[in-house]
Amino acid sequence: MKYNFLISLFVLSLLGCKSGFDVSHEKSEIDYQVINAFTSLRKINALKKDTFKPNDSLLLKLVESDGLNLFHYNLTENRKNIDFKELFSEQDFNLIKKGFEQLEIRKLDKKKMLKGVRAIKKIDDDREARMITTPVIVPDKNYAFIYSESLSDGDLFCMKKENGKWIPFVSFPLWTSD
Amino acid sequence: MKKHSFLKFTLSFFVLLVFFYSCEKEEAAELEITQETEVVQPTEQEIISSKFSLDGFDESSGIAKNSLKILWNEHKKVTLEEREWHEYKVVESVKIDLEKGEITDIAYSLLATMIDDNPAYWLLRMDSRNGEAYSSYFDLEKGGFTGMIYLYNLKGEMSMVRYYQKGNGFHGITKVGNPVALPAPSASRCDFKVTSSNCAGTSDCGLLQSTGGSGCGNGGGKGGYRRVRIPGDIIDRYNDHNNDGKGQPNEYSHTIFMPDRYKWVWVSNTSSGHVPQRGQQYQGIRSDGSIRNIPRPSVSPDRVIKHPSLIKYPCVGRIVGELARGDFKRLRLNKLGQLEGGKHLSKTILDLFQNNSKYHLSIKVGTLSNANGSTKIVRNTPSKGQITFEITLDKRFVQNGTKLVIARTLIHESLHAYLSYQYQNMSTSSFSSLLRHYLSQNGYNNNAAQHRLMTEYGDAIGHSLSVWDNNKLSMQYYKDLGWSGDMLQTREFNKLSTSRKTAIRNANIAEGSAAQSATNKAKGKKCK
Repeated sequence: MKYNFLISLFVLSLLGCKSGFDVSHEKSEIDYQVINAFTSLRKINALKKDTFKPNDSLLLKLVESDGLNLFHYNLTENRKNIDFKELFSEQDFNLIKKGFEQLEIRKLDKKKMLKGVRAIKKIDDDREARMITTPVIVPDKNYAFIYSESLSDGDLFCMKKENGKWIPFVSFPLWTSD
Repeated sequence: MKKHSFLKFTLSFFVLLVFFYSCEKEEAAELEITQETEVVQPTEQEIISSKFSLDGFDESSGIAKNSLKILWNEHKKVTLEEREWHEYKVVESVKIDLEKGEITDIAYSLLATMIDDNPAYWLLRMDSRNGEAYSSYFDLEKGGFTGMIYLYNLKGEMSMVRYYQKGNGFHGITKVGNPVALPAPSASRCDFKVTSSNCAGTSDCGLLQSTGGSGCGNGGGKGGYRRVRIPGDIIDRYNDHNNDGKGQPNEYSHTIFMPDRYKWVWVSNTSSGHVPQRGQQYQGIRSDGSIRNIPRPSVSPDRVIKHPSLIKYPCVGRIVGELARGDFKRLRLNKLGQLEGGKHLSKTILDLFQNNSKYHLSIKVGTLSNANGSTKIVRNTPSKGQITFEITLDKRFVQNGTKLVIARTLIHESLHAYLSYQYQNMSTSSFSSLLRHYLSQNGYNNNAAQHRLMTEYGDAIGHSLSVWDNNKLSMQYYKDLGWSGDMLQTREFNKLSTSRKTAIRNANIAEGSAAQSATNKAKGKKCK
């Protein structure tokens, strides 16, 4: 009887590990679509196995409405700077800001990640590796943001969903080194 | 008898009382009638002043509405084609301190006329170009005004724009196919409607032919109207603590950026183009909170900020100062940076940020992991459009490295700031195309793209370093040090000859890094 309880606990803990993101199935699927598009577009071959929450205020200043407009690379054919105030409502901006304020650290599910992308414990020894935040998605607008860092840089990357496919939209560099 | 008398007296008293009461009622009634008859109809001027508001002007109009004050008592009335026009003097509480340029004075007045018992208004802006300040629309012709006039409706939309040369009004501008529906004074003066928000370019807006009125100059053949961008005014504010009416560097408070404006200007055929004129203002905030214009401070706010952390590292602070010195012994010209005269890369960059009130450069010493230096892009006041490029030199690097390699890293990091600045301000230039090309090739990684682009500047970094070092060493050594950090991770580096790559690596190792101290092969001296 005692062993049955322990076995059940073990099985449950295994299931817990397997599920990766502890969120609804639907949201988790969308998150991995975004993460996989991100790793593919950014040509990333190694990700830190846990998502992270940056402890710098740089990111929060950036995701204010005026911050997004201030400095960015428009990655679409139209090279001009984008006016995010035309793109997003006040509600959208609040959602993006709240999304980055409430980032959680979650374990990435290797099985849901792209093949060939390694999940590693630390990025300290790998210049090619990056650590990422969980995606912040603007509902109904088909835009998704991921902040990521490597050993030598950090940037916020925005993708846009067009014809069912995530494409690069805007990159916001935050820091670079060496 | 007594009883009778008393009755008589009482009766008389009541009669008198009734009389007085009725008199009072009559007086009151008369008063009421008088009040009814004395209801004063407001005059046209009162209607005009009571219904006027500049609330419809937003930032896009380019009119600083809070600075404008209508002087309702300074008024004149002019009749034109049987229509009465009222013109009111307008003063600015904060007058733009115009720099030397083509516009010599800007003045405003308010035009109003009654249409079907309702006032219609136009705010008139007169940009004089010949040094003559004008205060009235009706003096432009006879006074020989030269310049542009703009009429705005109360929604802040430009209703009309017209160029004058020595009092002769040229044709106005209209949106093509847009019917003109303005009352006088437009009709008799060849002024036409312009819908600035809808006119995207000269093809969308055209000159109207003269409608036969007199006094119209010939706009065709001598030039054309162009819609040009006028950079927004910049206002530096100082807390005038000592109320001396002057700004001291330590009183600098903050900078205000007015939005850019788009204006129609007359450009003659002989002119290569319009030179935008930027108004730089300085204002002092008194202790009671009121604001007044102050003369240009003798020392502008320091925009290349030496962080307080440099107090502990005076040697680094000195290097920053020395990097801003010009090279007047050996003039350099960099093919990409378009550097001229005594300028070299680091001077150009430091000068750029020193003279820029929107983009600042801050330099400090701190702790980094696995790097000699880093550059952060800090959106410090997003609502005001201000960005600070914050360069950090690693503490261990400063301790381990020579002054030579510290100066090189400062140039390298400030070049990151420079490239970012250039891209943001010239996003459609060929330079930006190259950066975009590198971005797309490198997984949209800014760090990788910028370091690839920086390999083009390897020699320029070397030249700049040689200027800082008074050319004590061979130019090749400076150029070798021009390559550093992640520039050595690029395919451009890999394409160099093996001997060059070795020389670059050796120079970098010799002069020291965050990871290891300078060796005895170093040609520079430690920073103490």
